[in-house]
Amino acid sequence: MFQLILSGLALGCIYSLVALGYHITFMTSRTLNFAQGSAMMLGAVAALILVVDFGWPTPLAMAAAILLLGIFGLLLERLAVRPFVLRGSVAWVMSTLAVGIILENVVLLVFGKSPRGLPNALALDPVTVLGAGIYPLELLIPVVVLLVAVGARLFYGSTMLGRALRATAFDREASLAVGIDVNRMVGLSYALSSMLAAVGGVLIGPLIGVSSHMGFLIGLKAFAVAIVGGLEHPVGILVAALAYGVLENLIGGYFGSSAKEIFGFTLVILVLFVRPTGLFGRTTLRRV
Amino acid sequence: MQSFLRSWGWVLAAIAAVAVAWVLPSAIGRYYTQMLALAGIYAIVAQGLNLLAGYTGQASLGHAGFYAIGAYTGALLATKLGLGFWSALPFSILVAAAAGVLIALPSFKLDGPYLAMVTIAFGIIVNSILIEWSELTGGTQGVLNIPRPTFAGVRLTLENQFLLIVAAVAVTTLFLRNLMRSPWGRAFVAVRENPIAAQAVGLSTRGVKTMAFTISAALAGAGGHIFAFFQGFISPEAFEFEASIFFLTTVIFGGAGTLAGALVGAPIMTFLPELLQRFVDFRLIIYGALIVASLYALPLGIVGTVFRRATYLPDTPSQPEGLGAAPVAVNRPAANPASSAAPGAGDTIVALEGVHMSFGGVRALNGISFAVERGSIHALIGPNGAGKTVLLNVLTGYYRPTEGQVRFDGKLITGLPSHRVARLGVARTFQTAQLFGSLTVLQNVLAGFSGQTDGRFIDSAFITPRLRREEAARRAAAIELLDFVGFKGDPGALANSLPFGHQRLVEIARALAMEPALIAMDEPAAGLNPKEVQDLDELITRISARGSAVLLVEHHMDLVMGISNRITVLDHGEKLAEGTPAEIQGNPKVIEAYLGAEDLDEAPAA
Repeated sequence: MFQLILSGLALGCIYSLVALGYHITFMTSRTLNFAQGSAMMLGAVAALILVVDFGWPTPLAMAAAILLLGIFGLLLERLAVRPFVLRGSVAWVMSTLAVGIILENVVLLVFGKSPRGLPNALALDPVTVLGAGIYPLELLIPVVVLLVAVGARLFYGSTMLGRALRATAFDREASLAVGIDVNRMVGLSYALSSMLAAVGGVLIGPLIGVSSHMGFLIGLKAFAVAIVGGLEHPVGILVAALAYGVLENLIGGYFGSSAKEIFGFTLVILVLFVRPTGLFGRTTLRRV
Repeated sequence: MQSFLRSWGWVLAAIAAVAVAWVLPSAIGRYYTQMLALAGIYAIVAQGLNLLAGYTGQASLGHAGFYAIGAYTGALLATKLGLGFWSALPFSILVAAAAGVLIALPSFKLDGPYLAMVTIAFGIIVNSILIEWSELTGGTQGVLNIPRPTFAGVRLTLENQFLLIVAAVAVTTLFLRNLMRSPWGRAFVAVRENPIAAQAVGLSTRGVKTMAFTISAALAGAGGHIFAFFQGFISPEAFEFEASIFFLTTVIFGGAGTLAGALVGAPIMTFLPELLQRFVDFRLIIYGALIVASLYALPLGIVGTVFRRATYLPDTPSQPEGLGAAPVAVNRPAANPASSAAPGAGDTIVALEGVHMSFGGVRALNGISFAVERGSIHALIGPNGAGKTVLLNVLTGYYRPTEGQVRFDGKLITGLPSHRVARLGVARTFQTAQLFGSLTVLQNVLAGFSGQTDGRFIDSAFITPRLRREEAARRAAAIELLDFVGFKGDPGALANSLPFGHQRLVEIARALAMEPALIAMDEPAAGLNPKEVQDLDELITRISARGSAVLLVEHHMDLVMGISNRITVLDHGEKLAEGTPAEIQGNPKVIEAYLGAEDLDEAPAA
């Protein structure tokens, strides 16, 4: 039980990283990257290639993979999101989904079907914490999320770039008026979003194995927690993600893995039925 | 000739398609017949999704769920209970439709990503249940040995199944075409184009969305049912998230909100992977790339691009000659009894009693009470931020007052949703005209007639003579109303192409179509030139003479002082004064708070 809760927390942390990625792009541009799960997968794959094929030390490979995904985010926004947003179309939903399909199949082609291990010294021998066997990496994950959260706060609060991003999220027109390059901010938000997903990927890779389809379900569940927490509420997302990870692990542990999807997603629908803008979303009054 | 084609074109096309399907299999061989049959099944599902995503604007990323429910219901009824293709079909459709109602429940108040999430979750839940509940569904193995469809006791050959599927596509398409030409079609598009305006003409956005979800799910269920019997076996793999994306892509690629879109999209999307068969490994990569490329190149889908129109709502069928030449009363009798009473009878049509409205800590209205007399012109004035629009929103059911009561025709209507208030006979125009942009001027006015969808679903599906007569009467009445408000443009023009002043007039005509006992107008003169204000002045007087009371929020003092029977002045959410124009002009509190000495000089003495 305790073990299920601990590893559920670690899983929830991964959801929160990917889910905060949805939040970031939604705030600046009202768009979402439906290839977030694939971005996470790509981060893990990049780290794996750098470690295994290039022999880079793990921390360096992880950092490089995360940076690479930042570039990926910029490209994605430029090529698969912006052209449609400029037209006022919602085709970015389909285009980002399609990019996800392409990525997964490219990796499948290069990598084959079976998952590969991403070597990590912290995921070799389990340690015992209060009677629960757990990998040190699983304990490290919440620490990383905490650091990311603190980092994000500092970035948004005290740097010009962070403030410009927040301004864009708050009011696009006004930001344009005070000379903020809104397009650049949206691009940046996509870069940050993909980087967060990559952080999730390099952290979970050693635990679940790296494969082309590793990101699909995680990306979907991260979307679910982002919605349940409220797309505009980072703290809500964090809480929802941790709760989802723990709950899911418990249900999965006792009732099997298909049951946990059924319970999880039913819960999502029920929450939205009661709170249409998420648990922490304010019910905004329609302007008439 | 052209009107003949407009009425019968799709019917002829459907007959032609079935005729071609009769002879085609021998020409193209078994393999391609099979592929085309599959494409036909996908087209049925895609048509259903088109109604939901294209016409009604509710994108579903979980349609594979409904498709699966239809397939499994049919397959299980056949293998476990021995039902045949035809006897099981109604059940498959009903169960899928019921799931549609269920999903519509949480979806009606959701938008964008939140709606997408519910549909995604639904699809995944269904798929997981198929795997998990293996005693019933056969788990990952699925259901095997589903009997082939029969007709009159004879097992159908592949060629005959193909014929059956093409006929089903034809029926589905004709059904959708009829629906989109009926009042229901206008309701679907109205909800997509402008939910607020839809509520204002008495359409329940919830009801309309539920209807769209239900029909859409039913069609997906029918498609799944046919798929199961056609394949002979089914497994959860065919109903994963990818299948939902496939259906949505088919609709968008073909042309969302066009009748032919799904028909064009489905075969292409079915054959495309086959064409790529020799690049087995690259297949899905190319597939993804093609989706992105087509989104770039064909933003409106194939059909939309060819016809240069994103969504196209066909006009209502013209009245057949010699049929129902006498105009049918549209909704005058008993529809809105409140309006039939003699105007100026001196009694109250709407009354606010101690209405408070606060948002968070901000008090927008503070104990407002006043009454509007039947058939009168009652103006509501006050400085910006006085709470005039909030008051209109409370009155018309868009906001629920924090405290106090609203009465209409003696009945309490406090907290009633806006579409119900509208149906009672309260029409509304907005500060910026709220029209259904991609509907024509005439269709906008037609959308105003109340109760036109009630009990008319079957009539809509078949465009019965009764519906034709009603539509003809509504058309005549709508044209008369456009004339009444002084609209001189083209009634066939799209509403979003109209100049500003014309939009106002169309909105007023649409409001009048509701035969309202009260019409609440929010700054109708804003942005009009002096000539137009003059016309408006006269129009409002004529509206009142017609029997509708007018509640007028307006800053234009010439207009207000000239035509109002009574004036209520609001300031900071409080009622400052009420009286005749002369009394208001002489009221020192009003002069101080709002009019100011200068303004008063300009206003004509009443």
